[in-house]
Amino acid sequence: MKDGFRQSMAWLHTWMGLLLGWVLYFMFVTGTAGYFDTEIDRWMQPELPRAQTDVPAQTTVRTALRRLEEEAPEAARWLIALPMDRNQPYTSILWQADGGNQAGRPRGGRQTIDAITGDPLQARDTAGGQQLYQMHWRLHYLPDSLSAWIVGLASLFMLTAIITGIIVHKKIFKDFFVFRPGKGQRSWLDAHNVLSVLALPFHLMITYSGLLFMGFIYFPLMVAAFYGTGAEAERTLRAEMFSGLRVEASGEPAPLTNLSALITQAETRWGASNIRHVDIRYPGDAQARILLRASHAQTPLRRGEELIFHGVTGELLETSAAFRSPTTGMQDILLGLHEGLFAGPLLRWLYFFSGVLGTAMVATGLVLWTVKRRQRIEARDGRAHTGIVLVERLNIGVVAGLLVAIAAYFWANRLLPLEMANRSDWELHVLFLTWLLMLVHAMLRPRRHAWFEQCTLAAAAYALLPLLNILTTERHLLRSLPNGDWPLAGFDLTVLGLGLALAVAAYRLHPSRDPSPLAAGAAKAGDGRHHHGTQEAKTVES
Amino acid sequence: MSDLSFLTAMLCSVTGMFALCLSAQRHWRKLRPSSPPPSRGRRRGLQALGWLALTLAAALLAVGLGPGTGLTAWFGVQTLAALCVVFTLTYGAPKPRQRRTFRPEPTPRRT
Amino acid sequence: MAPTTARPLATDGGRRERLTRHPAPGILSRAMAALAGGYMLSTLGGILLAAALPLNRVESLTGGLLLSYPIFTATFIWVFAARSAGRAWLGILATAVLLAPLYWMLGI
Repeated sequence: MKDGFRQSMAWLHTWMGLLLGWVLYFMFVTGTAGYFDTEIDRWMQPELPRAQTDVPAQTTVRTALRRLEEEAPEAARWLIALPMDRNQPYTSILWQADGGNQAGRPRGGRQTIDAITGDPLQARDTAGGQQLYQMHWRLHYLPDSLSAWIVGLASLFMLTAIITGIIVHKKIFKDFFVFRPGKGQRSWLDAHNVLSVLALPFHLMITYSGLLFMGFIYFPLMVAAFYGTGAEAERTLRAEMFSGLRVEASGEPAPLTNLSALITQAETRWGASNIRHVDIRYPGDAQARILLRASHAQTPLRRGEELIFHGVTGELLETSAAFRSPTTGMQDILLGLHEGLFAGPLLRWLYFFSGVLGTAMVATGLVLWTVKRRQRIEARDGRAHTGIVLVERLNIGVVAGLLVAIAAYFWANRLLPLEMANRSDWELHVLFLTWLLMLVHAMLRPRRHAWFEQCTLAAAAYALLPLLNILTTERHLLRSLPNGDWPLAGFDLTVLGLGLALAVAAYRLHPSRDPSPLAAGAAKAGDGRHHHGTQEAKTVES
Repeated sequence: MSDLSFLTAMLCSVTGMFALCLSAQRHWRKLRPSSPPPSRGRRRGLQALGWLALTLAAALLAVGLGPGTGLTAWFGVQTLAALCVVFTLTYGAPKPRQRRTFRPEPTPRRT
Repeated sequence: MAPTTARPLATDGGRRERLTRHPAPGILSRAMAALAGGYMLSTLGGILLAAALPLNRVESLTGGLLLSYPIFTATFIWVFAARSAGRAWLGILATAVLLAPLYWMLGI
């Protein structure tokens, strides 16, 4: 009974992992890159100045207000996002024509401005780190709702795969530290286990919390049970969920109070540079309201306290706590843990590192599927059948190919002409065209050659990025290092490190290397020694 | 302050993970082939030391970074520390004599 | 010594209807039960919890959502662990029916 259960779970784990493994790999790679989203943004817009997080809030707000008065004097809502930390390096302003409580996207605009001069920051058109990281739930080219469901299904599978994986793993504690290299299938399983178990809390957290982001999309019936359906229901839900600020304009003009005193009040309460938003409703109206929102990146709780002031008198009307209830608090903490906005440099690296382990977990799982089956089926039929070959090729094209494609995305950022129309779209097209090319390449080349060639290509593409940066911009390592410009230097050094790591992988995957890490088992690898590696690869794949 | 607590917590965690690793006989044999395997009491002691070190790391991080951030960091630090042990166990352990042959290791180990 | 893997060729005369040597229809039926049944139970369970929580509307709903994914995953696993696809379906429907009185009590 017990064993049968385990066997069922192993089956479930195997097939769920395979079915959406490639989507999960894509999500893990792009999501992991997202832990350095603003750093990537910066690298992809080398024209921008350094982060302006040390400009005092008073100055920033004054500049932003002046700019908003010029740009949108009639707007019903002004929002200033203050540069606080790495999550928001520059000042953004946003305005809307009508309220802020409407569902749908109201008319308005947004700008990123210099915190001192107020001029819009000018930089090349790029999809940047933002779109790269948003891809992990907003699958590019697909409509948002469809990709939400695909991503949701993949995450659900992941959650189930994690739980079944724990059930199946017989010696989870005994083999906690065990990795036995050079033993074919055994080694792949060890690697998959170690990668999964050592970062298990991260994997569980990231998967479960990932599902929570779009809960209201996935369970419309639950929403309907309490709010009903239709646009009005959605509006009510949003209003209750996001902000207690609901106000109607009176139509009587009245001057906006001086914000300086309010900023001082908030800074006394929260500490300096902890104001995230200044949100003004109906500026210039007698019923104006000013909402100051504290940083949501101080702790894992992804919500800041809110102070609501009367916009004319400057009187504090309402304080809304960051921790609102056990359930929403729990949700905010889980979402906060997922995004890791609160993480300083060291913890951010740990996040990134855990993401890399997750990526590798999915990749080793995918490879393990093929290594295990190839051995068995070759022993039985003498050669692999179409299904296995197809999975193997997709593995190469996805696992190695995506890395090449993302490197191509960075190359496109530097090489596409700056004046190009729809430049940012083309950066993304380059990413996906390269990926397609890699998938085709993986289908056409012998298996071991394809692995080797794509890893080599990825290694070169990443390792040479710093050089490309030297040739195409003024913001390269030779400048950023002496100046201590860490976001830029960090990017260059990280891709260099990534390139070197991929070079090691390529070396180990060289087609003439025997026994190949992709060979089935230790015993088999020993037997295979008298074959020449390349021949072996060709014969089994013909 | 926070960097310091990170560093000390990391040291504590690596120590703790090594202690927990050595409390298993098979790992002890691999890492310290020349010394006799630890007695039952010694293994218990290593285990206690290991957990104590991990707890200390949690306390250091909670104090240094605040409880929420500290606890989050603790999990990440444990992952890294455990990985250090895995790498040592795999690539840094004293090599057995008959390394060059392709035969299985001389003493059949129970796995 | 590899962990108990899926072995489509296993020939032990299993007492239970073996998932691993079962042809496509059984798997398809289970997959349907897992996805549709799991979705149904997680929605129902979420609503039930939300209705039972003594919090305001949006807070209760959030509580329901937090619980719905574990229910979904548990159902998923249970469906594939069940002795047969038929039993899996039966279990899901029975759970749904058993929950019904609670709905009456909570007045949803």
